[in-house]
Formats: sequence, C-alpha cells, structure tokens
Amino acid sequence: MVYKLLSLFIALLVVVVLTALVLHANPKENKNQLRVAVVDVSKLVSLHPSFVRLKELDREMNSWESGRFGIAETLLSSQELAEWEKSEKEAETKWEADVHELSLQQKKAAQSIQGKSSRVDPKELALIQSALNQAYKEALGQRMRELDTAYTRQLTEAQKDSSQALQAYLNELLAFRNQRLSARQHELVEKAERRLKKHAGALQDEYVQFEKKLMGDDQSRKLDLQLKLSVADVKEKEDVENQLKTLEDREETEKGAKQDALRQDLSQFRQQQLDEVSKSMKATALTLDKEVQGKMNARRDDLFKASRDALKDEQNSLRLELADYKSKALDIAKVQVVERFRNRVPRSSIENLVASSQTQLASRLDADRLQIEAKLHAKEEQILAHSETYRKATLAIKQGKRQIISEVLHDLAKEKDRVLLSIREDIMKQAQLIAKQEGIEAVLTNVAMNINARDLTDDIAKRLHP
Amino acid sequence: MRHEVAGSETSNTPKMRFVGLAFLVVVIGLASWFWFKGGHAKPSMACVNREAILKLPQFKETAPAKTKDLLQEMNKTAAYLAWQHHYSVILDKKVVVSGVEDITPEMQSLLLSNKPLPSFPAPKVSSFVGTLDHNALITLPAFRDVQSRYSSLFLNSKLEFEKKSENLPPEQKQQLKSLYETELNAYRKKFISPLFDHLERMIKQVALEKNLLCVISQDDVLFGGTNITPDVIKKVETNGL
Repeated sequence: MVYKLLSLFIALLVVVVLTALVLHANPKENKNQLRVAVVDVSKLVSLHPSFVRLKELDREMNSWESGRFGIAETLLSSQELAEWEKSEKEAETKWEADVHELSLQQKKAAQSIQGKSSRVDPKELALIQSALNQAYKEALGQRMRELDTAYTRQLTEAQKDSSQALQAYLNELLAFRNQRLSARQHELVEKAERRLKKHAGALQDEYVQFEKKLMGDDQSRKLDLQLKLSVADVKEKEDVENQLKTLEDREETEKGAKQDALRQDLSQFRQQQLDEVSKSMKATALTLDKEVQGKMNARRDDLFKASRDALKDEQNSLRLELADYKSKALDIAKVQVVERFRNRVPRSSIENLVASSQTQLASRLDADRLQIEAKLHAKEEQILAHSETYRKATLAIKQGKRQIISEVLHDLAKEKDRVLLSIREDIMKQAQLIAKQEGIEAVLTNVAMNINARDLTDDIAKRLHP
Repeated sequence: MRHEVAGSETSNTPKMRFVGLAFLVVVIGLASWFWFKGGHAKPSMACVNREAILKLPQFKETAPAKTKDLLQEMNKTAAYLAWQHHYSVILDKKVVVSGVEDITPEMQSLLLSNKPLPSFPAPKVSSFVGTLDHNALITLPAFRDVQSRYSSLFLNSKLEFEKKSENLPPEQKQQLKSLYETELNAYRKKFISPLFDHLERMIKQVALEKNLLCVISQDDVLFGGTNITPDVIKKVETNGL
C-alpha cells in the first residue's frame, strides 16, 4: 500500500516536472511571450517640465560663447608694424652682409686648400682656385639676383594690391559716410524748419494779441475824441484832430516797434537753428570720420598682416632655395673649372683639387649656413618677441576674461548634464513603473521603427504632466 | 506455496515499480538541472554598455587601424555570451530604458582576460527585433544622386552668399542668409523628404512581413536580431524609390 502511494506520488511528480519542463522550454523565443515596449526618450525630454531650464541653460551658454568668440585678436598698430618692418629690413641687410662674409670665408678656405696640393704648379693652382671661386661667386650671385628680383616684384605687387584694396575700401566707406551725412543734414534741416515755422506762428499770435490789447487800451480814448470832433467848432476841431493823430501815430509807432522786435526775435531764432544744424552736422561728420578712420585702420592692419605673413613665408622659401642653390653653384663652378683647365693640368689633379675644395667648402658652407641661420632665427625670435610683448599686454586683460568665461561655461555644462540626467531618471522611473504594472519585460528607446511593440511615450508624458 | 509465490510477486512488483520511477525522477531531475543551467531560465535579451567597453585599455591604446579588429572581437564575445546564456539578442545599453539584463561586467572580464574564446556553435537569433544598417541604405544610387545634387547646391549657395554678403550690414546679411536657407529647405522638402518617406514605408512592409516587433539601428545591436537590410535593399531595387 505504501509503495503504491509512493509510486502514485512519484508518477504525479514526474508529470508535474515534465509539464514544467515543457512550459519552460525556450520560454522567450516567442514574441508573444516576451513583452517589449518602446519609448521616445528625446520627445519626453522635450515635454518634461525641466526642459525649460535646459533651454535657458543653452541660451546662457550661447550668449557666453558668443561673447567669448567675439573678442577680436588685437593686431599690431601701424607704428609697431613700421618698427617690425624696419627690424625685418635690418635683418635682411645683416643676412646679406653675412652672405658676403661667407663668400670671403670660402675664399680663405680655398686658399688654405691651395697649400695642400703638391703635384700642380702653384700658379696654375692659384688660377684654378681663383677660377673656381669666381665661377662659384658668379653662379651664386646670379641666382641671388634672380631671387631678389622675384622677391622685389612680389613685394611691389603685394603693396600695390594692398593699396588698391585699401583705396577701394576707402571709396566705399566715403560714399557710405557721405550718404549718411546727407541723410543727417536732411533730417536736421527738416527739424529746424519745423521748429522755425512753429516759432513764427507763436510770434504771429503774440503780435495779434499785442495789437488787440493796444487797440483795446486806446479804444475809449479814440471814441471820446471822435465824439468831441463831431460836436466841436472849427478851433476845437483842429485841436481834437491833432490829439487823434497823435494817438494814431503812437499806435503805429508801438506796432512798428513790436514788429521790429518780433522780426529780430525770429531772425535770432533762425540763426540759432542754423547754428544748431551746423553744430550737429559737424559732430556727425566727426563721428563718421572717426568711424571711417577706425575701419580703415582695421582693414589696413588686416591687409598688412596678411601680406606680411605671405611675404615672410616667401622670404623663408627664397632663403631655403638660395641655401640649396649653394651646392648647385659649387657643382656648376666645378664643371666650368674642369672644362677650362682640362688641357693644361692633368684631369685627375683638377678633379682631386676641386673635389677636396668642394668637400671643404661644402662643410664650411654648412657650418656657416647653420651659424647664419641661427643668427637669423635669433633675429626672428627677437622680432616675434617684440610683437609678442605688445600682444601680451592686450591679451593679459582678455586672458582673465577668458578664464572667467571658460569657468562659467564649465559650470553651465555641468548644470545642464545634471538637469538632463534628472529628466532621464524621471522618465526611466515612470517607464519602470508602467512596465511593472503591465508586466512588460523590456522597454527600449532610440528605436528606428516601431511596428507592433507597445509605445509608452504618451503614457509617460501624461504622468509627467498629470 | 502458491500463496507464498503470489505473495512474493505482489510484494516485489510495487518495489520494482518504485525503483523504476525513482530512477526516472533522478534522470528527469538531472536533465532539468542541466537544462536550467544551460540558461533557459534567463531572459533572452541582454544589454552591454558599449561606451564602458570602449574605455577598456585595449581599445584606448590601439591604433585606429586595428580598432575594427577589436570591435569584431567585441561582437564575437557578445556572440559567445549569447550562446552560453541563450540570449537571442544583445543590445547597446543606451537603447534600454528598463528590464533588460546588463552583462557588461561579464563581457569586460572576458575581454580583459585576453584569453581566446573556446569554439562554440553559432547561437540562434531571435526574430522579434529587426536590425537595419542605415549606412548601407544611404549608399543606394537614388540617395547618392540626390545627395550629391544637394551637396553641390549647398556649396554653390554658400559661395554665392559669401560673395554677396561680403560688404552687407549684419541685418541684410541675416536676411540674405535666411533666403538661402529657405531655398535649401524647399529643395530638401521637394526631393529628399519624399525619398525617406518612401523608404520608411518599405522598411515597415518588410518588418510586417517578418512579423517583427520593432526595428533597431544595426549600430545599437552587438549580437542577434534579424537584419532586414538586404530585404529592404532588394525591395527598393525591385520597386524603385
């Protein structure tokens, strides 16, 4: 009986385990069993109440950014540019002197080689040496002249281009200035005319009032005299007529005086207006001229800086080319000398001499070239340091400002990240809550296309804005 | 005697049955233990923080030319983990909002150990998530043509704007700029947007035919998913854009 019961229990257990296995086999391969939902996080971020803060932070960062990049680099002033060019010219002269010295050193080097050759006649040797130096000098000199011509042409062209561009710009600026000035004149004259008209109207009113008052004051006296005149005898009549005439004359005099006074007032006012217009015009012209001058200075500095940089590059490349050409000049000189002395001295002797001379000269040239280049480099450094000092003075002030801006931007970026993170956490929290309630196993975002998955975006949006 | 024999038969049979059943239970128990150990109890979807993986020393210190090999190594490791734990798809963590197991630490330790992976059969991939390679789609001739026309239009507009706006005051410059932007927008709306709309419809058709839940960019998937890119390209080539 016990075995039967145990068997029954075990059979039941087997059935349960098998059922469980069947049910659990490959449980989530079927899409109906895996509940996936999607959510558009970027849309929800824009719907979140804190998004306003994000936009504010963006705006603030933009304003700081634009302020930061709005700081224009200060260019060298015209005076400093002239100084820079002067020192550049000095360096150029020095370089030419060094080249000359170099050729003298080459000569000395060639003379020292002379003593080392024993198989060739000293006279011939001297001739060879001199021919070699001469040929070298000529080849180098010709190339230097070519390069110098090219450089001068470029310099002239650059100057011409710059001055043409400046002239065109100045013409444009002046045309614009004149337009603005004429517009301002028109405006000022119109205003002055309006004021003058108004003032004249006021004076006219004043005169009418004056006349009215004058007539009113004398009215009773006049009537009295006219009445007397109608009843007076011949003797009295003359007297009354005289009185009446005196009264009318006085009236006319007073009117005339008033008119003169008003005319003078009007004339003064007109003059005052004209003075004002003239003063304003002068001030406007001064401002516009300053503006034109400022713009011209900035443009000129821009152009000079650009052409100076271009010329400096060109100068450097010419220097390098010339340095490279020195070895070529030696080769040319060697060929010429070998050709010239071929029949007079054994070829091997000339070649030995030339080869040894060439090697020595080349090493000496290299050493000298390095020395000269180092000097030139030092000079360039000095020039740069000069302009750098000027820059430093202006940039030092900006540096502090930049530092502050960069710190503010850093803080703003941190704040933005924090707000964004809190928004995302909020969204994720809501998504998790809905997923838990609805038995959703996975919630995804950034989905390229949703076909049949449950979209939680609207539900979360409602929760964010209850 | 017969009773005795009968008695002994009746007493032996249930005992044997019990032993047989007990053996069966043990076998089934063992089978189910192995089954569950094999990973069927775990969810079939996992995710990996690709950003954290790319910060591992071997990715940081590798020359750009070899990065491709390392990325392949990363995907191979993902495939190995998928086989080991029976995941049908492994996603980049950035597309997961909730509910997917994060296996980044396991992957990190595998990659850091620098040991070669044991050989494993290609794991099964799930069909409920579709993947799409956008880079392959935008190189289709129709897209290429319209894109190159748009690029040349953009370039010409830019040059023209720079030339015209050189001496203009800021306000007029802004007006001119918005004029060009409107022109470019109109071009995009007329020629580019309809192409993308049509392509989207085709992707949806393919996804529906394959009974997919959603489609994810190939870049966000480390392993698995049904790549529908070839089908979409085929459809585009058959029907045109």
